[in-house]
Amino acid sequence: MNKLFTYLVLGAFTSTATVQAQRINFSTFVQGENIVLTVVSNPGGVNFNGKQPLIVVGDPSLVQIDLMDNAVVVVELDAPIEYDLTAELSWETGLSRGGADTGTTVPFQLRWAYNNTGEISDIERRGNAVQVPPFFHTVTFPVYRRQAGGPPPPPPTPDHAGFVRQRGKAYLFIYGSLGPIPAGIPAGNYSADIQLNVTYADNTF
Amino acid sequence: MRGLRYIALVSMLITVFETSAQGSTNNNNPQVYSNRIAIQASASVVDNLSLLTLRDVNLNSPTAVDGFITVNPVNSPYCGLMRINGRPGRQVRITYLAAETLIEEGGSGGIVKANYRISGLETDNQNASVLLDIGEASVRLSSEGTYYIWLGALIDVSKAKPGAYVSEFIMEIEGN
Repeated sequence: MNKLFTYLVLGAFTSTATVQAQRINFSTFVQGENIVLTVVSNPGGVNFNGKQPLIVVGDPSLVQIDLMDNAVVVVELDAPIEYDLTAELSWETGLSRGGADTGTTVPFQLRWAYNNTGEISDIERRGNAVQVPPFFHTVTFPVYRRQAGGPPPPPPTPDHAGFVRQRGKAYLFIYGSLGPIPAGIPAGNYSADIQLNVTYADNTF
Repeated sequence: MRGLRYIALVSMLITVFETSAQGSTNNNNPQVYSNRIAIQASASVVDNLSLLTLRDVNLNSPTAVDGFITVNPVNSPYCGLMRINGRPGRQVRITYLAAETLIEEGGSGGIVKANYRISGLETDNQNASVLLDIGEASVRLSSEGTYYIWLGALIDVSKAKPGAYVSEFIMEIEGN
């Protein structure tokens, strides 16, 4: 009996020493549903001349496009309503002449905000938009804001025959400030690219 | 006792089996849908170009000779003086009204014909300035970003009658 016990203990030790684990990352996988991005306002981009037609070399004051201004670029995000989206915005810190790297840039600070409360009019959406703090490049938010205080929502409904996924719209507002304009720079068109990348939020860490 | 050995053997075998069944880390990363767009931020910046009048042209002091008052822009002390400020080395086009006819304001019927001439130089040195083309000229700002312009005139007062004649000399500057 003693021997049996020894074997069992030995076996148990051997088996603990070789235990292997399975690790599975669950990522959001949305079957057949994509995110549609549409620039609904100012498709030409953030044009600071839309706010101040005459921008003069050496002007120390800032040209500021605010959230409520007409020059704000509005991007509509159309996605399944149950999901969270991660929006990533990247931009250069200065506008360069002709968009080329000439060494001289005009400083520019980008600001952005999102709305996911589903108002009908643009003015209301801007009024309820959440401004992303300065220098933040990524933000995650649900397509439609959930009620505060309640329990977390059920997981998204899996795909099945005859199921139509409900979609919702969220909005991004892109604006910012330009300047001060350095003295002695050549006149011309200064520009920079802003890249917006929207994905389903991946909540695995 | 033999039965017990079998049990021990089986447990060892299970251990071996477990070892051979290597757990794999499943990085199951299905295609995550995403979408991207590019937006442009842009601003059209223009040069600051300013025109400063330093001195008005004085047509009262010079005396008329043969019905003409002459203020030579290159050497007359009665010239008007203006300065253009802008980016150093910048090309600037100057357009001005070269000639005009002034009618006496009180209705006496007197007529004064004025021909304006301008000369210019990058520095404030009137005697070295050069006469610019009539009506339109293209000049380049100095390394300090300045250009001086002297305004003179040839006024025909032969048909003038006593009274008031008022005019404003208009000059347009345009950066290229």
